[in-house]
Amino acid sequence: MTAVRRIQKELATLSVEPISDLRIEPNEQNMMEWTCILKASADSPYKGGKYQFKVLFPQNFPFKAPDVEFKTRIYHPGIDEEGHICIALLKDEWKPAITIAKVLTTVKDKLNNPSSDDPFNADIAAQLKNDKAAFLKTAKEWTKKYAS
Amino acid sequence: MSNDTTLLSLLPQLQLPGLELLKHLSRSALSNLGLSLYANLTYANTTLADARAGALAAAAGGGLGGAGGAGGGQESVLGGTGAGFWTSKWALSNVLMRTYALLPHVPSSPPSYPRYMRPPLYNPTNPLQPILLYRIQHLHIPRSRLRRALRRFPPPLWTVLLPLPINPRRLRTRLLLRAPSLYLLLRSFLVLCVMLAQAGGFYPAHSTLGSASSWAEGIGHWAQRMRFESACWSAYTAVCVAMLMGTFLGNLEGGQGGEVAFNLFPFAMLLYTHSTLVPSPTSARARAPSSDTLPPRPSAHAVLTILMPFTLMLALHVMGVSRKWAGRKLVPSAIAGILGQVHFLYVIAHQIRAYPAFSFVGGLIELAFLLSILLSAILRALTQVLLDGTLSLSILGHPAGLPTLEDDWGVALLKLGQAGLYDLSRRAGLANELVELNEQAREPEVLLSKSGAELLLPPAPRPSSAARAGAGGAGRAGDAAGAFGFNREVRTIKVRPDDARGSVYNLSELGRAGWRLLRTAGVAARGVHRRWILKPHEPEREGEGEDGGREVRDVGELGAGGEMGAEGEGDEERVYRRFLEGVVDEEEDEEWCDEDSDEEEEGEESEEQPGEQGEDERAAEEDAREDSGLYSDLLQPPSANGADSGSLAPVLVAHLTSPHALTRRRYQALVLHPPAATHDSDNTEWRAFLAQRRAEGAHVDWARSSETALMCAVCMSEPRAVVCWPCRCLAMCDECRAGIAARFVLRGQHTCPCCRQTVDGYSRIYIP
Repeated sequence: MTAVRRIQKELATLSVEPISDLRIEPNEQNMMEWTCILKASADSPYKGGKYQFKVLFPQNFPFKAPDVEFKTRIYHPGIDEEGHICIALLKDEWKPAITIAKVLTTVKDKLNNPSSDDPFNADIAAQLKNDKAAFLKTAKEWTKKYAS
Repeated sequence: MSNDTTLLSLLPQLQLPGLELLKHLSRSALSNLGLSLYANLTYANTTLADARAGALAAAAGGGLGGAGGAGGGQESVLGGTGAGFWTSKWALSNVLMRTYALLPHVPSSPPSYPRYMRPPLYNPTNPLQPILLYRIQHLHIPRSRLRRALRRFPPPLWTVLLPLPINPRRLRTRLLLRAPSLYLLLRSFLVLCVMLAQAGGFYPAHSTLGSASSWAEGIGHWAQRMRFESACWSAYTAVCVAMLMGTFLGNLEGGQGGEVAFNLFPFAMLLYTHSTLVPSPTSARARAPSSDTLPPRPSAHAVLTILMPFTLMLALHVMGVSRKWAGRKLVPSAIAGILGQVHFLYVIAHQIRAYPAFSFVGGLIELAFLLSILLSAILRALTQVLLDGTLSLSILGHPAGLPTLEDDWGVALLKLGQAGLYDLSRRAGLANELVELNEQAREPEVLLSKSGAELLLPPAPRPSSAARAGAGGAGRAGDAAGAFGFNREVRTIKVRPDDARGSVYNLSELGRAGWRLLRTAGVAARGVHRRWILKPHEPEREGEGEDGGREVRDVGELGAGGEMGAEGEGDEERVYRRFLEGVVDEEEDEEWCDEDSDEEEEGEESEEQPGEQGEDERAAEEDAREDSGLYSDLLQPPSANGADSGSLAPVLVAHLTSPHALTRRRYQALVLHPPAATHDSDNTEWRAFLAQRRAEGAHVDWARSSETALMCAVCMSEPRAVVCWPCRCLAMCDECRAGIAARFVLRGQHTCPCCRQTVDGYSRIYIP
């Protein structure tokens, strides 16, 4: 199986060169399912929060993009209520040559830098644009409530 | 069971339309619900176009390539085509059935059947079903958090009676939830089996049964009295309910509904057809089914064609009880499909008229698919055994293209069928291997084609000197093209689209080749006319070529220019080139003028050329001398003022007929010993050398250099070995290339895994 072989390979690479603030725990029964815990960086609105998300690899993995699904609720313009994250890299910009490390780094960057462009959650994006203080307040509240 | 039947047998005698309606409502309240829940989500997803493509493909009498092409390689589309395939089976059968109904042996009076079974009900409710099933499929399953939140409420009283929330993953729950539909299925299964036995005449007689005789007799009696239409209807409703439950429960688990791939549509048509084609009872009998005359039966073969898909549905539903086995459709549906085929073949071998006409076309199409798969599998197995001495699963196609356990038999057939045909008929993108780099005398370019030749380099340069000359940056005088080897960067890559198609298009290919020949001949004639018959014009001077390609060419000429007298040699070269290029292409005027001007400047620089070439140079010198001999022959006509161009004819012919650029050696070989000319020792030497280097390259331990840059971008565990054209990304290994090639069928879908540019073809790289 190409998928399993490649995922193992990438896991090995990630254990040698880990991404900072990110812990990866592959499901022991199922290599195709990883649980990751991401610590938000100190200069982000989610400071102190620990966010759990799942990376689900499809059966024909390098040809189809993995799914990233947040399990911890987060007040983020790019992540919706259901935990889906909108990254072009995982949608139409996917190509088999993209490594998981690249995907995880992108997720991390996206989480740490909420932006009102490319809004997935339109209300939050509008708030971030018009009333940044309120956004930061809610984000902090949610972090305290769900992610600590 | 018996209550049901006695009540029903009594009811018709009352002759009350209102009551009859009530009867149908009571009997098939569930059934009607199930009726409207149509089987296959695939149908819902299938666009009309897909269905039509499938229908067309099947109508073409197993126009499998069409189905494969229309369906694409991706599973969902393939599923759609699968659905189209079955639908088209139905459509054809329907036409046949209608023709069949006109035949004299079919009763002319319209058969009488209960109102609920009238034609519109089996059929037009069908389109409603995908909608409902689709809705069920897309029920929103609350996330675990929400479910947890729900549990926090104090359990209401009714949970004492009904243990809620349920756990849809437990075996007991699964069995319990499926119990009603299982009951319906098993009941109909029993009826159909008994009917089959009775119609076939092998239902056990009373005497052979002993103690169980009364029991068996009771069942036999009960089944015997049941009208065939009713049996069909109950089978249909059972299947509908089972599908509905299967989908719903599968959805509850958060997974995919296991049983949805059963094709209800053709099954409904099958049942409908058989219940209408059955010889109808007279109206008197219809009113009093309890009288001695038994309701009529279709033939055993017809019952068997119904029983086969029904058993499949039963098997799928039973498998759905176990989580492990749920959704693994391939095995049961393959068994059902193969049994159906065996039955089909058996009947048409013995008594072709006995096979139900409705299923005949479907059987034929499936048979055609099977035969074509078998044929390509046998061919590949033969090739594999002869070449490798072993057999593997890859005779069915690349592992990535093989059906999975979750696939339906029809989809599996399509996948295998299209894989085989695709390989045999048409190649594009990552399935299109380009092996020949066609080195041309003018602006360097790669002409991508699928020649099948085992050559990576043009055969013209001799291997030893070519290798050394390439390394040393020096060229040979015989190589009229100028720069070559490592000096020549190939920037233009052309794809000959004709070659993307395979042997299927031989005829048009032949025509095109003929046209090309004619065109070349025309160009040659014009060239000759201009160069030798008209007065040769003076080359126009142009600025020094500045791009790398041109400089590169000049360096190639240095070796020869340094040894020979620069002027004399240049003369001959010029003439020869003029000759060559006049023949090859008339657009080359500028080019050779340029080279001409450059050459004189290079003449002075030639002293600086490092003189460490030794033998190589001596060989080059000899070559050059021979060249001059040949060229002087060629020079004859122009010196005679173009009066006699007849002596050029054999050279021209040789040029036109030669598969490669015609060199002096080749021409000589051709003149001296014409038939043996193609196999000179150089060529075999070169091939052996190539094979040796490749064999060595295969054993290089790439694992040691743990650079990810060297590893395939897709699997990251094999060295990169395939370069994509025209983007030139050296991105993946051949295994992954074959995987993508088998997976994505449409030409536009082959994209480079690194830059996502459309791939027109690929070449394998051998790293020594």
